[in-house]
Amino acid sequence: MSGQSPNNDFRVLKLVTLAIIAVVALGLPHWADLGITFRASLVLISILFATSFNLLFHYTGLISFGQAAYFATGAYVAALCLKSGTSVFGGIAIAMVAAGLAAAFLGYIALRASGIYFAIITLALGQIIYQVIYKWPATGGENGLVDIPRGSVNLGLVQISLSSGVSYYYFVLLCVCLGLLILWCATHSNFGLVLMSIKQDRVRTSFLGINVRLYELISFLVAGSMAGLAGALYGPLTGVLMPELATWIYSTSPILTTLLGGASFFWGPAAGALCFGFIEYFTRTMTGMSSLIIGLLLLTVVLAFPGGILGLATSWLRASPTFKRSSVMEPDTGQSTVLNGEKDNA
Amino acid sequence: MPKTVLEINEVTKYYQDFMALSGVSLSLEDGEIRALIGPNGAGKTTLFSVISGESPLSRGRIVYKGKDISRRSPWQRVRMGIGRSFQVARVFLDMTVQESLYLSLQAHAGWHDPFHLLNNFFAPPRSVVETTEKILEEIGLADERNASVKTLSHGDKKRLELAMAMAQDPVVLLLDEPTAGMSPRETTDTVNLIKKMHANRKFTVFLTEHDMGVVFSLADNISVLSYGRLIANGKPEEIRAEQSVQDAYLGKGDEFDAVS
Repeated sequence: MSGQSPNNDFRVLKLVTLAIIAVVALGLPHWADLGITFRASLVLISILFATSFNLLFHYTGLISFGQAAYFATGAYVAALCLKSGTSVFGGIAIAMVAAGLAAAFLGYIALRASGIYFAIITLALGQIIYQVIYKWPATGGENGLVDIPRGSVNLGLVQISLSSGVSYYYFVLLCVCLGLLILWCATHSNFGLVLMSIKQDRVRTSFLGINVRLYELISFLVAGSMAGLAGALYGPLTGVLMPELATWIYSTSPILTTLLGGASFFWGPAAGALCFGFIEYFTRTMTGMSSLIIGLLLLTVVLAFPGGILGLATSWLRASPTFKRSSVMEPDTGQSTVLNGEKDNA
Repeated sequence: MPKTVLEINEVTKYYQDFMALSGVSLSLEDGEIRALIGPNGAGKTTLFSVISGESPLSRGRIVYKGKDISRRSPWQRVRMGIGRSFQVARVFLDMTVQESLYLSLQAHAGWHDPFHLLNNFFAPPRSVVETTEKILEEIGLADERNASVKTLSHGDKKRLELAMAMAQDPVVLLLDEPTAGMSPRETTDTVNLIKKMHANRKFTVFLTEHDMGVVFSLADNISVLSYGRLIANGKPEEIRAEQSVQDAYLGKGDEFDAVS
């Protein structure tokens, strides 16, 4: 492959990585036990959760501490729907709408402030959702919700039960891929371009005739409904929902995941979630060890490699002779292959 | 008979106790190039930010095409046809030149109706790509189309900002010192660019400028602001002869003599 340009080599690397990930993700239940499959489902859910957070964080430039509240809204709404006999897709759709509207409504209030005040308001409003879940009998109050059914998917001719760990894993994989596709489109399109311009200079953006507030609300809506989708998948997986899921402490999880993986990359949060998954798996017998390792790891990443795992990988690739001088994995500034199709040929 | 597009009516602006603008009234005719001059701190930038909606006015009215727009938000005024550039070019440093123009053109095409919003998830339409190419040629940044905006020279950044405003086909274009900080060569290029674009598109230009050479080579009419008051209004030759203007520029009178 020596005759090819670095860019082509990089494309090959990207394709190979993608193929390996696809094979591993699709084949996982066949060689791993149910415990690992369960953990893998959790990792997939946190990938979607963290990527939805990053839409607000990296692309729109808003740091929200309310993400767990949208996640919990989706989780509770879906669980209550499933318990009352709604179909799986119906429950998920209602959960996504509810979480998206909750996020847009809270965003509408929080966007009246900016900077640190904005972050604190999202935190406070998220805590209100937590209090509602905690106090309301319908949501099980402090005891939470138990016995959440997984239901089954009706494909007309065949009815697939999702009650087994393996079938639910594939269901989660499908939903997470769809969610990531939506987020990918949102960030790699003209819409993403507007979000990036808002992040860089919101006043200047409004002087292009763009209703900045509307775009911020739409990004809240999309991020919220994707967090809601992640939540809707979570309840039936564990079978149990506790009100603590809505607290701001859980909102820090996508933030840490994103920082670990690299916020400036679309796949950064996914890399971070995967990394956390591995740490938790390998420290599962040592109580408290995972927190210690995660703490030290984050400290190292934030101080030494602010670009996160993918930022580090990029600089390694840049330094390697094969990829030198090429624009290997430019941090994702929202510029898309759609918009810049010519770039590679230039 | 010329038509008034923008009417500034008794506009007053306070910053706390400081009166930055005091009862300023002037109207812009359709298609003219009007220069706003005055010593530093006269309120030129304040007047621009009040017209564009960046800061609210304290008293008075701004009427655009017969509509009072004094309370409209900046993005609404832009969509109505009032574009602007900034004194220090405000461009999106993390974008490419081409993306900046896409952004501007798409914003103009209407992000706001639901169909366009859906369209946002796909590649820019052919018309946008074609117009972008045309503008890139016109402003001489065609070779720079994939360059990151932060790598551009100061002059090119200002030119890009001008193009982004121009791309939206404004009715009135507010230019806050379009040649500030430019080399003589870049200044000449920019003046010619504004002339060319104005000739092609026939919009109204309202500009502030310190470089009197630029003012006298572009402006059809000149308004003079001093200490927040409008002290003179008229053709360039009238302004040059005006005694009150000479006084306002006390010690700077040679700037006028320098321009023949």
